[in-house]
Amino acid sequence: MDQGLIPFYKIIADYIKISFVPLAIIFSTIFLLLLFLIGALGTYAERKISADIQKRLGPNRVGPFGLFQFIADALKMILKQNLMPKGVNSFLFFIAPLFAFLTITFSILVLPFSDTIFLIDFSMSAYFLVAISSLMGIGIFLGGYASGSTWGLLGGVRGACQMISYEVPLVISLFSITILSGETSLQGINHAQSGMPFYWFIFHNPFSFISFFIFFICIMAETNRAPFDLPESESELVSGFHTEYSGMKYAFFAISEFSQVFVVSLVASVLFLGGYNLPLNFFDGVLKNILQLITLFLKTGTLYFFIIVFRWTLPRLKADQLITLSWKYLTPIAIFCLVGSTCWMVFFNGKSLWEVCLFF
Amino acid sequence: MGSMFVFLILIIILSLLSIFLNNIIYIVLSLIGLFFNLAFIYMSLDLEFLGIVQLMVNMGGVVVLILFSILLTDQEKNPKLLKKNKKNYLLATIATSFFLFIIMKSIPEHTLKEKVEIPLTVLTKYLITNFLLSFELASFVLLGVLILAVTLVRGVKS
Repeated sequence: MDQGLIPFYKIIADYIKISFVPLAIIFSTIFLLLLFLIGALGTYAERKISADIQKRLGPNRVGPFGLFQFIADALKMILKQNLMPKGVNSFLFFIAPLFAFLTITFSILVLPFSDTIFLIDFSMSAYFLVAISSLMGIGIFLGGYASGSTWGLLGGVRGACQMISYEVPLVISLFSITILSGETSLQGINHAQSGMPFYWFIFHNPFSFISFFIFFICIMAETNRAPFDLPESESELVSGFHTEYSGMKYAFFAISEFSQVFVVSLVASVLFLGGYNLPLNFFDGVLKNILQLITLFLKTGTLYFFIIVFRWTLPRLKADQLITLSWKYLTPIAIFCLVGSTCWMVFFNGKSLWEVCLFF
Repeated sequence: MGSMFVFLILIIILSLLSIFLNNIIYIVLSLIGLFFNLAFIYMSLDLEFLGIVQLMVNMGGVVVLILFSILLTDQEKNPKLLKKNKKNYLLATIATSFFLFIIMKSIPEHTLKEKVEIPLTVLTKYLITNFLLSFELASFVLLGVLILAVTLVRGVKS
């Protein structure tokens, strides 16, 4: 709240003179539903883009361009029987998808969409997101463990292992952003940049440029996307940690996975790509907020597109290659970038590459 | 303050559960809930840093470590890991009261009466100057707890 930003529901509550608590509850529910809608549309985008890459048609029967395919899928999920295989620990089997679901519920709290469109903002909110994403790992592990099948267990162990190893370079590259901006909240980091590309943190110095790619690789690994989809590698482990899941329980896993891809690409665009800052500040009020929202969604959508394209282009890594990549390459490079960014801030008095070039 | 009491009661219930339950996985689940509630207590006291550290270190690191070590155990052979007798309860009571005594002694009195806001910069400064020794000691105790947890979970070799 350092910038004095007020969330929109408080403004509305002030305007019609009621307490903001019921409005906050209503709007957080709406935000959550919208996030699920985006996650569901993500499945459609994934199918269409993969079909384009592989010269297939993709969904084209339900609605215009097959756009309602995700609704049909959701209906199918709801109507399906909830199977409970033999040898399953029923309590853990039930609670594991809820952990994955909880990750999304908490991460929607701190996402900044524009100057006023956000729910809450506190210091350390960027780290809160990283901390809460470890719940997903616990959910995957418990899901695999409770399934009582070898495929599930292998997938769950791989998932937990992958998540804790990729959290290290992720947090270190987040540290370098904190050093560049001097802020720990997402809104603060966003406002430390501005609209023009040369003010974005990705182009702040050569080290932060490398940091962005480390961060991007790590978010792909954190969300179990290919080439890091070892927890659910279809060609070896049937379907990994959710082999035994069906119906709504599977839907919980799937929807939280796709929503999390959106969440992490939004966070990446806030941290490195200038967030929702507009290049030109001509507008004010509601129009400005809408334009900021569009700017942010364009950046997020681009990253989302690239994540999908990578999934359908690159082959899957082996388990040992995955761990090697994290501990032998990404972590040292991330630490190097952290030290480099710190030195840059000391030597050039906190100026970006652009400002230094302009000075000379 | 009303929501605070819900968290506090949940913390007490979950910590009791994490001692008295028999299945190790359920113990870990109640530990997860416990850490979560602790983090939210810190956050509602405006101590975001402590809350985040609680979530990051305990939920992301320690719990996953314990879950991994549970996989190495043979749970079907040793269903009851902890033998519950009166001696254990006595020891637990003594340790708890000693711990509570230390905590009550070490908290400055004025912080109990009024709300004190600690900015992150001040906190980190104190952490590496005045309270370095206690910080290191606490981490040492935590390390001991971790090793104990792993050895407990490993069970008895026949």
